[in-house]
Amino acid sequence: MKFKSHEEKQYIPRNKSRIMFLKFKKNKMAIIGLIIILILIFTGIFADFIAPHSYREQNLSLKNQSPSSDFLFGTDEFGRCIFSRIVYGASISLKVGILSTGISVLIGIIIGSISAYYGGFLDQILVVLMDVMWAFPTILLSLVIVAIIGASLNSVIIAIALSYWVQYARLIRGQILSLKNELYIEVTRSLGANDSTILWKHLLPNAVIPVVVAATLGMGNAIVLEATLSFLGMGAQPPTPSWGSMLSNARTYLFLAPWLAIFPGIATIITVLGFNLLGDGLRDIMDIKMKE
Amino acid sequence: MINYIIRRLIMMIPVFILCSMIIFLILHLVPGNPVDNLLHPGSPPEVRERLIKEFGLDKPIYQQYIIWLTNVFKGNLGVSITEQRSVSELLLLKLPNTVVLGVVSFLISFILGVLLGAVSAIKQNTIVDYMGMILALLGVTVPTFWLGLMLMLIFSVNLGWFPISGYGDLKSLILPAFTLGLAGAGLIARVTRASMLEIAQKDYIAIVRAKGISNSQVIIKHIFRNALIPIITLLGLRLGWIIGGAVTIEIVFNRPGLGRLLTDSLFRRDYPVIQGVLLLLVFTVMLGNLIADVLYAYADPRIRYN
Repeated sequence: MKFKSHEEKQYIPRNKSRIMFLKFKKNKMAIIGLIIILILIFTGIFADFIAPHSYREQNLSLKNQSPSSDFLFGTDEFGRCIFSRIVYGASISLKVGILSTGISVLIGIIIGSISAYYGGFLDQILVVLMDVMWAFPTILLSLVIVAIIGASLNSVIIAIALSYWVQYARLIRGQILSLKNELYIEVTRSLGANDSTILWKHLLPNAVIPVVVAATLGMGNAIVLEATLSFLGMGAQPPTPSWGSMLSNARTYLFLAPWLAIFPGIATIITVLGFNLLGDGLRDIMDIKMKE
Repeated sequence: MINYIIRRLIMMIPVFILCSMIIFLILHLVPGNPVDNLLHPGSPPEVRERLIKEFGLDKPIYQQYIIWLTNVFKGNLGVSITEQRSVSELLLLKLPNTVVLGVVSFLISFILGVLLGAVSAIKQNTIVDYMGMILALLGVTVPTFWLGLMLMLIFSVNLGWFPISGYGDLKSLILPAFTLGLAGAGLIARVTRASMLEIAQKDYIAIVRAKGISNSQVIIKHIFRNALIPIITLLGLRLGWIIGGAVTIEIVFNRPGLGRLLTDSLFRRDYPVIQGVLLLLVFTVMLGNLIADVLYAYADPRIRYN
């Protein structure tokens, strides 16, 4: 944020984060996104109080019941309450989104910044590695990784992280490449700062905003990917109430109990929408041009 | 231009070899032997050893890799462990289904996406624009397989217009292709809109307008044509996404294809088939990236020369 003149300064709050906050308040989409995510976090934390039934309690005499006042979203093929399972599933989706994105951002930051900062032969090798990983469609790569290390929620998190880091690494690399020849870095270096100080204290903080935006959008993608892997039978195992694994049986019962397919899907969409709205909003607020 | 294409093709070779190495390693560094899936419990250890020898699994891993890679370049992808067929035979059998699904949904997503994006850009900040962009946002939000389930629920279960699964005829292709096409259209619409709005602000558009050329001419001839460049790049990159999407869509609609072949082989740990499918898909994605770059270089000559 640059101030053009002293006159303007009077009208604009001096604090950078205050400006961001004011811009954020004006962005309705971002607010809606944030509210959705907050509701989701709330649901996850207080699932025990919100859910009317247990997520694993089976009651075969009540199987495939259509939505009613007792079972808001109906019951599944084991007579479990779908609404309760969706409530408990919120924290699982959040866990997958946050952990897998966190790990892949971390890998991306390390590889991307090393590659850009040190350059030379190391950079060339890492760029080829990124190109190679880029050629794998994420869904296929994560599918294969889960299939190999065994289907479970943790494998899904690892697989998603290993499939998505490249986009963050490329982003960080591009950012640092454009920053590292700036004058202030030269000044810092001439003042005697060593490589790690320059990289961690002066380059990364300035390169991180686009990564925050990409990571917000990435969490939405990670949640969709988890749902897809679970749908393919390569995700959380029963009785874990992951939304994706709830959908994996839905196809079989599409005639008999369509609510099995409808509600977990809507829950997933609302969640992903939350992250996408917040990510799009942040991008507009920070005024970042990103390649889609 | 030809020089550029040749240079890019040569650059593909090391990347392809590295891809093959990654595919091979992630499958072979895992504990457990694929032949164990073949054996009945209680079959004598000699049988197991004979099978391991037969598939060459007793050799050191780098030797296995080199043998496999040389065979790949000779066009021999090995023999399926669980089915008595060569991998190339299986691939050729399943490929047409996936190609048809991929190509049709690719076209649907391109046409719908560009139309939606262009209309939104022309009607910027009107209700049409907002509706269009909400649709596009849903396109990037809704999981593809769930969209498939819902379309199936509406058009097959409730209305009975299309078969719930199957393949071969046009009728069974429509739902899967539209699922994938609709899901893909969202991103293309957003890029089209952003790109057109960016071009519309350029000075030369103001000059063209000042010359008195009609609005529709300006939009079609000057804005739209220039806005196509990022869309073309996106299309090449979308190939990988379409391939990934086809895998799930084939499962949803129970269509035989490469996606089904891959997931079935993953469950059976049929390594030669998994390797073959992955190699073929990765090669397609690389080809898509190459085509995108070539089209881009064709549209913007500055790129060819650096």
